[in-house]
Amino acid sequence: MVSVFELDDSFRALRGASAEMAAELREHALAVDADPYDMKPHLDVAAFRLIREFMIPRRFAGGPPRIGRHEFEPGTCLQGIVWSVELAYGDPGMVLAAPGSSLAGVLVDQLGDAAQQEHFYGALADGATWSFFGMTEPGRGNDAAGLETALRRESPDLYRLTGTKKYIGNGSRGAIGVVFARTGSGPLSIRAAIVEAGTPGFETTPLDMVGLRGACLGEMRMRDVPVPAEMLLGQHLPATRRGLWGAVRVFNTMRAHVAALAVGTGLALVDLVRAERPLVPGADDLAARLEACRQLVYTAAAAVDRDRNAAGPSSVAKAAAAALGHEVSRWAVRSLPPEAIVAHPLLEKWTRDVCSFEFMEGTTDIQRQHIAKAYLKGRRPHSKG
Amino acid sequence: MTVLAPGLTDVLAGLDIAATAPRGVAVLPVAEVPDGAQIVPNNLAAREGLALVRIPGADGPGLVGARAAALAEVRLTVLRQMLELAVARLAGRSFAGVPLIDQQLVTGALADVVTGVELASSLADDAPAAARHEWLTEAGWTVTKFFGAEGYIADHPVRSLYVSTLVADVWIARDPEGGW
Repeated sequence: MVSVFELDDSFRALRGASAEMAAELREHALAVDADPYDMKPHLDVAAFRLIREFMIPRRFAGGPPRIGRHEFEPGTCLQGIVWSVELAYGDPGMVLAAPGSSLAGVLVDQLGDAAQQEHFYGALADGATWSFFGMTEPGRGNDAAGLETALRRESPDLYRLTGTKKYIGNGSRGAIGVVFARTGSGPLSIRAAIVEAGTPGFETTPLDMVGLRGACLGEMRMRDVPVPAEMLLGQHLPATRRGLWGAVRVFNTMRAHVAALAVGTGLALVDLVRAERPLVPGADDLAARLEACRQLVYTAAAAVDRDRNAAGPSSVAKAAAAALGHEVSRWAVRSLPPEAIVAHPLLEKWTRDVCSFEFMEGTTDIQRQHIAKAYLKGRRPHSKG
Repeated sequence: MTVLAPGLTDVLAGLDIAATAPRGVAVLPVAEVPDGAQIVPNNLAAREGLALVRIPGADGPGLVGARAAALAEVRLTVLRQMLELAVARLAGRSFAGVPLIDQQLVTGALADVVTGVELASSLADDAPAAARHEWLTEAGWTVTKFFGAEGYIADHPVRSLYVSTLVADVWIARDPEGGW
């Protein structure tokens, strides 16, 4: 018995429209891989416009995003997943190179009040500004509960931020974003604040990445950076929902996105090899497994839209897709003669890009723990939701 | 710096590069790039002192036999070096209060790599080259993962494992059946 996730008409239209934008995105992929900080020649691609329209909350846009006769409510996980797979088929590095609200926006949507959202989205309105999500610290990896960046209250109106964040997407080109820090020692003292890059005491360094270079990872060093109290997210929410709670919900969403990127890249690799060797052994098997992963990703996204705390399905999708993406890249290289690495620079690029999917939003070991926990919780006869 | 570039220099010593480079493509120590070769920009290779090149007119079989086995030895040495670096990192970091090196999922992966390294060291020189090198690539990826995002930054020594894979992908002839 196979359970197939059926997209409705509107999502099929979105899938078709984004698939049509993939070829243009691919034309820019190698230039951005060579110099991801020179984005001016690439900002007019149709896909960036689509991403912007689908990420900005309705009230900050001229109107709801539309594809043909279909109208969408921005910000759902499933629609993001639908375009992510198709655009990553064009090039995953280009998807990450898109300016806009990205992860930080998902958090501001969850934890921000109306004024914070207006401030944040206002700063990104020109379509040529990037944002950062400052969680990971050097030497700490996935251990969010152990983070050390400090948010010290100086007066009722002002906090000071001190600490270092590393491996942050758009870390050195982002103009605005969110930074996680602690106001005290307990788990509830972890908070997130909207921070602007130009603020005194805020310094950044770009990091030269192996692949997925459009993501522009950077390091951010903050020393007594002034943060107005009104920029602390979650003030209007209960104490348990101001900090890590929001981060967990963002990660559940973003894991599905990373899985979608892996599926799209994997499909692109299979087609690249097929174009050279139509009867290549293994292609049908891998394509079928990638389509199965697409189903997992759609299912995970729908689960996140029902409940942003749903960790299990997006972990399953991410673990499966990241491993498969890497496997496909090895198959692709071994299925083509050595000169293909030079003759098809995208092949060489994608073999580097797929490795990133292992490291983004939690390694496979972290996902395995989520998966086992979710499974065990689900089969317990008297489990409490 | 790892042993990759000097090791490759030894593997290629005395070889007619143009007559060997598979369909004119090669990865060479920068000092060995012949006149007339076109350098294909590759950031990671350059950081290892290597160049990805195209040699017009060349059409060789790639590395086979003893030279393919010698390249496998070089890659195995790089792998061992990076494994040592990984163990030092895993011992020095902890998650939720437990050192990473003591986390069961990590010890399992570590045991798998050690077993793979032992097996790879025991392969006969005439073992099939493509499979042998793919095996090293897989073990290298497991070691790379021990470094997390840190190892995805190009100035980290673990980039030598990415370049080690590139060297094999260019120099080692494919299994004629396709795939592996």
